[in-house]
Amino acid sequence: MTHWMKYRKLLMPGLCKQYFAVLVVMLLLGSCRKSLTVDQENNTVEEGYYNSAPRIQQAVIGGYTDLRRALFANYAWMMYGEARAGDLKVAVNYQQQVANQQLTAANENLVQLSDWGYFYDVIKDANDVLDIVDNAEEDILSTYQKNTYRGEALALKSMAYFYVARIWGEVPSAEENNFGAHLTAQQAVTQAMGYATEAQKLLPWRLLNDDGIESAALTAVRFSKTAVTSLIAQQALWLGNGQSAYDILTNTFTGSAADSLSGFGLAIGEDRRTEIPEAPLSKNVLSMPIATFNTIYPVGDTRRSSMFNVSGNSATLIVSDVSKVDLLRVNEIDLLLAEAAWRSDRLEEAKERLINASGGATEDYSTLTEETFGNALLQERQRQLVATGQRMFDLIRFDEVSTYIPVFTEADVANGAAYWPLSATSIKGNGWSQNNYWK
Amino acid sequence: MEPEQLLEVTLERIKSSTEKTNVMKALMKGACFLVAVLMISLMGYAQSVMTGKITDSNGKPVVGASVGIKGKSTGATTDAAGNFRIRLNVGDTLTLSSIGFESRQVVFRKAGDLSIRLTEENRTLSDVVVTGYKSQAKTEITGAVSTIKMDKITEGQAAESFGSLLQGKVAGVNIQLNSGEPGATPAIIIRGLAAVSRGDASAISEPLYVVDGIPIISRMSSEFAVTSTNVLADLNPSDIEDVVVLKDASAAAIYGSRAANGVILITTKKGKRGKPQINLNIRTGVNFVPQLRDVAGGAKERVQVKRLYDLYAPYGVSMPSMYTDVTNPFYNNSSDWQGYLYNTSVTQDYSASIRGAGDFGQYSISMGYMDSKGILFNTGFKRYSLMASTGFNALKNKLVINNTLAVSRTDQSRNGDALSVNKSTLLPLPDNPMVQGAEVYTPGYMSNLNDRVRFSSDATLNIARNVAYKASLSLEYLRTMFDSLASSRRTLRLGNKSVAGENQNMLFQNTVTYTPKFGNGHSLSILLGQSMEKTEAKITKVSSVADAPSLSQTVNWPQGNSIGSSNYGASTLMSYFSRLDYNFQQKYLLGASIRTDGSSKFGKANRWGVFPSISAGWNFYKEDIFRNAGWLTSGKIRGSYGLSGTTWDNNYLALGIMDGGKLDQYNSLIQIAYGGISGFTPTWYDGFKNDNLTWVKTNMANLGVDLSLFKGKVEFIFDAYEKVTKGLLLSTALPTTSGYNEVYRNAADVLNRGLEFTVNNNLKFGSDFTWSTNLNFAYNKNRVIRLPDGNADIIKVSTSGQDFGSIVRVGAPLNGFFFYESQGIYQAENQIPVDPKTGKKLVGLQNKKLEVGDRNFSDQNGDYLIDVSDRVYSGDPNPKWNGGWTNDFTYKGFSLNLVTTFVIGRDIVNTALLDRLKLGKGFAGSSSLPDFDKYSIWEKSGDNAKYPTLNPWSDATQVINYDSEYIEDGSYFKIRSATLSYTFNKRVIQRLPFERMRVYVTADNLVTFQKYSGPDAELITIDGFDDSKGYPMRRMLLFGVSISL
Repeated sequence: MTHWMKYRKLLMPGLCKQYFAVLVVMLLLGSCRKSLTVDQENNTVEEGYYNSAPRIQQAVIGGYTDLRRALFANYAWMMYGEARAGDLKVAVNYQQQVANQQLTAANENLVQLSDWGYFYDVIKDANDVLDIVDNAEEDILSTYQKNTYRGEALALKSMAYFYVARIWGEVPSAEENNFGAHLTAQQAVTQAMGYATEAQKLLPWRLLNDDGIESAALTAVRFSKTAVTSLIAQQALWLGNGQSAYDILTNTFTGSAADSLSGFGLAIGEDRRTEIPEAPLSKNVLSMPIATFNTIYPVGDTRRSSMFNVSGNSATLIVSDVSKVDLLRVNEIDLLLAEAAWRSDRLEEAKERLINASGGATEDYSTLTEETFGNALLQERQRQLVATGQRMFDLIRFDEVSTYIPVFTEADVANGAAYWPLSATSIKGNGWSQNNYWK
Repeated sequence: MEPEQLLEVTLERIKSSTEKTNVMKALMKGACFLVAVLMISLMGYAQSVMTGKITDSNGKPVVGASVGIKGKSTGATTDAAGNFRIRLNVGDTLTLSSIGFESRQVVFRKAGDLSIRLTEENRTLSDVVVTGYKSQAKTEITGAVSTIKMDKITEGQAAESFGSLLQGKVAGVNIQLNSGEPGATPAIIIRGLAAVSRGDASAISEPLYVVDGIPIISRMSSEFAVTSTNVLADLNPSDIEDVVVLKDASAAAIYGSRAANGVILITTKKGKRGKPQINLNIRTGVNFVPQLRDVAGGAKERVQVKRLYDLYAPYGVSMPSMYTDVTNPFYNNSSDWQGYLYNTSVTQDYSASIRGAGDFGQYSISMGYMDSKGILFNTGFKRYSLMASTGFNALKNKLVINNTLAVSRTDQSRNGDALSVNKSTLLPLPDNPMVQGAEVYTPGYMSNLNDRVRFSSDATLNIARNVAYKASLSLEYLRTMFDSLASSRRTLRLGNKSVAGENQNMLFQNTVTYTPKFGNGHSLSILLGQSMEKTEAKITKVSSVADAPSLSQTVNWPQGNSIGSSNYGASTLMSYFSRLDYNFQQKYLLGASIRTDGSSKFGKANRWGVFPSISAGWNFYKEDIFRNAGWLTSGKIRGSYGLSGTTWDNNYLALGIMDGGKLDQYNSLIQIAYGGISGFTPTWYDGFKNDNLTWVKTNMANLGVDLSLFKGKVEFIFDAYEKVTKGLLLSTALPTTSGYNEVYRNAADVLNRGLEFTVNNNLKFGSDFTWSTNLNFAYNKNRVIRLPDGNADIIKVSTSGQDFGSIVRVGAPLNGFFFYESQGIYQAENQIPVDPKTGKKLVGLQNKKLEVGDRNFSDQNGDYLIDVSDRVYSGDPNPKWNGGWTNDFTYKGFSLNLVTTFVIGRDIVNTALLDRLKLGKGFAGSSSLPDFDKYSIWEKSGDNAKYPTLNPWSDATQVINYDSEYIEDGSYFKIRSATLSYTFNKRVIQRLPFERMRVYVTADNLVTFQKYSGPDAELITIDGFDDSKGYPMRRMLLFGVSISL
């Protein structure tokens, strides 16, 4: 200790100032902690990003692009629809497996198709938009923008739930209040219909572009009042509620000018997708074997030539607009009205509407009875809505799966065969289990 | 000399003695008087030319030693007999120095003072080793630290990077050259692999590189990687004085968050006292082509192709005409592609330096030029390096200022067709006139250019005798440029690509050291420090395709939208650190360090990490009981425990970056534009926001013993360690219903345990023959101990969906092979198992109906279907043992140096062969075939074959990637280099115009002993696959001369 004291005495007097200076320098440097926050010069973080109307619109658009991916990756909308039902062929090798109902075959494309993740991305996007719009500063959005963005988000969410319920049957909820809750297909569609009904009040007939002018092009690829009404009607019919479908359709469309109606399609994007070699509507991607074609469109049906090019032993769909894929067509409204009328005990009105909708058909629909109407309508839907991806859902709705897909017995269908299996990723870590039929 | 001056000198002498100061004062008065009297009588003796002699500890003359007089400019050099002549005054202080000897100062009083003995630098005990932020006497070190003197190694060997020269030199440091391409990056792993990823199967745990106290950019993250060159190859190995490897936590923890994988400290050469040392090293090497892959050759290839076509004629396949039509010019062709593309090449390596030091400080300027032509056509590596380092002493040595400027360029070139050489022998060579218009070997080039400028400046202020403050500033700028041009012979279309990367690093650090000694041998050393670092990276890419060759090879901007891309990233690191070392009489040693690092890479909640360590040592040989043990020169037991860390490349991972351009798990890239507007949602992300992301922490315990016996003739070093790396970053699954797929978490833990042994001996036989040897070997066992998602296996898959066949599984070593278990070949129909329940035969991979001649894979789960669920853990690519054995023999001026390295207990996959047997439908004419006769390939029943039947037309080929039959023993023993040299010095040839001259010849990559059936068991990726596109390692014969002026 004595040594230590002595050395300290030797060192200290001259050193204090220098030590002090060093300490000051180090403390000064130590105060530069701000340097640990690096500016995000070319990166974007969510926090604080959505602070203007165009940016909020970006979030809305994100939902559409995610829906596009959900429905076009691996030609999903066809695989879930006409390709599975065997009506249309998609020029990819795994389509045969889908048509043969080998949905659990070891194929990476089928694995993706069995994953519901992309649809839940849309639901998350929509919920984000609702949050963003609700929390936006007051003067950022006009009333029109606020209503439209909310409406679009609700419609997107409704559509995503409607798809997952029709594809997989029982599905989880992704809403904050009941996240992960098991929803039967009926419950999920009911939930979806609620969102769509809310959206219907908010959405305009025609959307405005950035200059504030009504734009048909914009309306064709975004949700409008027409599109969301069709969606509600589809959902109500799925739930077996013909009367409410009838009500919503007649209440909405009675008196509305035909030129304000707009269908809804998804705009094609040039995604870099290794799993989808060509744009969904490229020439020769979708075709129908001639035998199937002749069965669906009998000789004499004028739609044979108006909708298809026949060459050799296959009929190729004529695509008038390759820039979008129609999901909710305007011409479906009459079919929906016909069905809603039929299901709400208005057979005569139903027949009239079906005849209106079915120009070019060889059949005489005026003689239809309560019993035969269903099949005729199902067939007209098959003909007119080809390539909208609804065929398989129609078969489920009309309870005709085992009739048209003989590989399934009625017992199979009752066991869940009409729905898709779930991929391992979809089931992992959420207490969900595989559909009984596909176990 | 005036009496006052003499007095002053004498006083100085007395002052510096170790006697106690209070006694000194009393003595001084008397001494002054005596000296004054003495001085008068010696006046006549002054200013005379004196002769002296310098000898070594054996009494042999020291040739070329510098003799100077302190404070004067006069000096002399000893001749071949060790004699020197110099004009001296009584009381002058002679400064004596010679390389290899400890410097000495002698005060001249009488003639007898001029017979001076210099002692050789003791390389074992008194060695001072640079450790983290300071230097320590070797005997006082408590951590696991290894030092490699580079001088001997670099003088006789030419290498693109110092890394490959360290191979086999340090126990526990596994250095593998994965490619023989000049300028390739060796994989350096210290104490076992501790890196986990779901994708990139060859992720390695990289050490931190520190050059002269400054951490340098040693690699670029994949996001900013531009060139294929080893980033560290720009450091001329000849400029390195020594390399220190900090292996355990006690040594490395002072480097905190980057130290978990070990720290490599590089000290560059500085000037030494004495006359200027001018060195030249000129060498030229001839690179010979080693054994290449086996190629059947023209006629044989044709026969083999015909055989395969004949076998499968029933499939309706018809043979291309070049195999059947004798008039076809290709029919009789047999191009030796390998012979054409691989050629003997030349390596030139020149370095020159001038260095010196004195009271003023030191200077060192060195230049280097290396041109290493590759053995493969159009490949090679060039390095231009310049390094200038100066040190100034000011304020009577109170202030020392050092500046270092290093400028370098490396230039690695490749052919436009990259490194592919596997062409069909029936195709004509590019120099054949027939080639006009055929796509045989794409003309073009690839150029990888790295330019680095490093400037560092530091100032050390010795505030008091034991207190020093050091501030250092370093700026580093690294520009990387990649340019490629490839053109088609047929269409003449040109593809250009140009990528430029800029990387900058700015560092400011301050340290204070306080090193008092007190009492009866108490010695303390305290270090306090702070540092701030900012790293930035930028990359710009453009590419274009032109329809016709243009005079300019610049990239033209095409019309479309997609014209190029750029990216920028930055991170900052702020640290406070401290280290304390205490010892009592160098007998009992104690060390502790702590560092706290804050990084911008982390969320605000978890920004700071604390990395402490503690260590202790006992130099037991200093205990009384060993006092008479003459055989024991030194002995130390040491132990340490500490925590260090690592981070990851992604600068903004914790922040949750929104990104519309990221491939998802299904390899789908969403286009953000929709109906003319760009979407941007929070769910498109590049790393989910996670404020809890934090440091990867490594706990390491180390126990070591150092023994030196028989006056340092034999040395043993032993270390045992356990290293637990916790919280390695991995993406973990989220319910897909959340709208996200994954989130990054600190989710995986890996354990490495190992033992390290080093034996050194320095033996002298007679006066002329010496033998010194260094044998080191290390055992490491690697095990995964935790994985996310309930310890779920990770089967590695690349972003493009390619399955690597590697698995990360809890309880098993990292990156094990996850293969189908081969049980040979089905020789007879009845060997194919039949399901007793259904009566159906086992179904092969890809639903193949199994036949005789097909691979017999074990049906692990007994479901009578071979599919992915039948893969099993089949091998460990991590070496269990690795090490090296270096021997040096000297006899008079001759010396022979042999360096060998070995790896034992490693499984590797012969992907090189697999890829060649895996024939696709278009195999004919596309690539060369091996000579099938040399491989045991099944052809007919009864063949005792190793490889199944070859059927290029089958959709379910039997030659598949994950067949355990291709796993081989990857152990090898390699004679890395043998150097024979002869040293001329003045002792040998008195009229030699140089101080010293050494001529040498080195054979590099001499011979490999291996069980592996492929070309080279070393050129294997970290995850154990023989990269069949690899570049063989040349054999080099290097001739050189090293001259010291």
